[in-house]
Amino acid sequence: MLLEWMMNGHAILYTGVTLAFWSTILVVGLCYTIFDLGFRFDVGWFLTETSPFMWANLGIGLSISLSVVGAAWGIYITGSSIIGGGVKAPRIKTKNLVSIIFCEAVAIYGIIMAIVISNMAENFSATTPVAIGSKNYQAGYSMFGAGLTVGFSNLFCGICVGIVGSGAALADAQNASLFVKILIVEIFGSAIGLFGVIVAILQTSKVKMGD
Amino acid sequence: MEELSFNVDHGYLEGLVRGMKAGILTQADYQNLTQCDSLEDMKLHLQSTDYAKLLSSSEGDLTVSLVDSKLRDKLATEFSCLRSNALPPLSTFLDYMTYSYMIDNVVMLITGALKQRDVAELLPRCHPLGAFDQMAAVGIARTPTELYSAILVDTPLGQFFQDAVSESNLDEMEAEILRNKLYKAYLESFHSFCKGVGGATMETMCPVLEFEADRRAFIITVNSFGTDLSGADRSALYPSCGRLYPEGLSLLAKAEDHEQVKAVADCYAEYKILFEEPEPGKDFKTLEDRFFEQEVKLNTLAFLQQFHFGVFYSYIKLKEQEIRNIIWIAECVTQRQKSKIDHYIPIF
Repeated sequence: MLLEWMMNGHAILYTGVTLAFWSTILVVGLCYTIFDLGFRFDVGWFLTETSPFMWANLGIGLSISLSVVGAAWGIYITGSSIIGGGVKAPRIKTKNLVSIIFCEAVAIYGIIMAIVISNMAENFSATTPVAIGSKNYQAGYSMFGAGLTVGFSNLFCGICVGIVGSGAALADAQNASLFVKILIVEIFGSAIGLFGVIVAILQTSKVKMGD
Repeated sequence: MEELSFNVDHGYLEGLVRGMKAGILTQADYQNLTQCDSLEDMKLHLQSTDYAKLLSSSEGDLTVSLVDSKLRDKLATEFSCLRSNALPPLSTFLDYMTYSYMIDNVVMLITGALKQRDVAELLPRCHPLGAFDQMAAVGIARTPTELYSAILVDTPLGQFFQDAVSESNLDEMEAEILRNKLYKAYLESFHSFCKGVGGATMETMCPVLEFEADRRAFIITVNSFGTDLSGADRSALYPSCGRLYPEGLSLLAKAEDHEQVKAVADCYAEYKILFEEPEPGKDFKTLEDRFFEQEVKLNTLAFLQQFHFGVFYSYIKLKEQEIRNIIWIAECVTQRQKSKIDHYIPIF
């Protein structure tokens, strides 16, 4: 069976690319080790030479974009089920918009956090790592971390609310009394997005950029 | 991870099918229908269900066969509504569902062509779900081999002919043997397709198809008692994708009477129940009825999971059972034999 799978065109491509990638890494790593050039692989240099602004803006970008991906994912999962179920049971159309609103809330968390984080970025005049100081580096990393936190938690929250909302729409179409009960599951699902926002706020609470 | 991407292509259709499933007749509807005294009464009761005005636009007298054909046409319309909006792999799945009806149609057309019957009178009797483009052209072929090489090899059924038969013995093969061989190839192909899709589709569809395969094996065995179909010929007709494969099938090929078939069924828990003698006092159900009941039970399980293709297959099968129920009740009503009217198989 492995041989059959190997004969598939896609499989050959993927195995080839993966093999090339890992062998490059292996060969490069071996060469660096053998020729005593290991000092060139310098994580400390990377972290001090990259500007804190890069981390801050990556955090802002991730927070809004991942939240929007989560919200969009949830909305299309729920929306298609509402449309399908609404053909034979038109009464579900208005009530089930609540599920869409829960998904949308996830995107709103993302944009609020993006605005909050971006307001913390201030200018500083130093250029060397020593002069920039630890406070600025800490600010950069905190903003990146907060962006990751809120982005990923909203991504999975949006997907969760979307899948539950789809089930709620189809169950509502069969039996109207089920909707409120499944809505409670959705409320718990959307709470996890809120957790991400709370943790992100805490992460950025001590951020102080500047000279 | 099916639920993450299923709704992109198939969410609307799943919602639609589940909505249509809500219109399947319930026990209350069947109670109303069994208390009718004539077909007109039944028509009145059916108007308040999902069938609405289906029967009221009929010209001429209301007969059972007219009711049957109208119900089947409605099912075919619903199916084509689903099929026309489907994207792969759902479109392939829905096509697989039509192949069983196509096999029945082709075998009927072949037997008709061999007896020199006019194709035009056979075409209306074909099942609408199994219609294919080249159906009308079937009349020009004179022998089954011609039929195969000219027409059938281009239809989706061509792949099943390759597995089942070689061109040389197509002429001598009886229609029933041909039907069973085609069906065996079709069922095995469908089963491996569902396995390939995987996920919840595999979990819901494979038990249903395995039951179908085992049911065919039992029915072929039981029907071959008293005919000159030998055990070796029989085992070529048994689909191999069921629970009975391989030991049960080899035992069935050697079975010579009903007792031995029952002994084979006793080795498998679910089939043992189907072959048991009913308790005294309860109604006697034929083997076919018990198989139908088991099929309904397996099909209703498909609606317990979301984001899979099994709901489409189960919906069509349950609707077919509903049509059989309605026709059974209609026959009992028109022939005024209400004693057996409760022998329909309740679905939900």
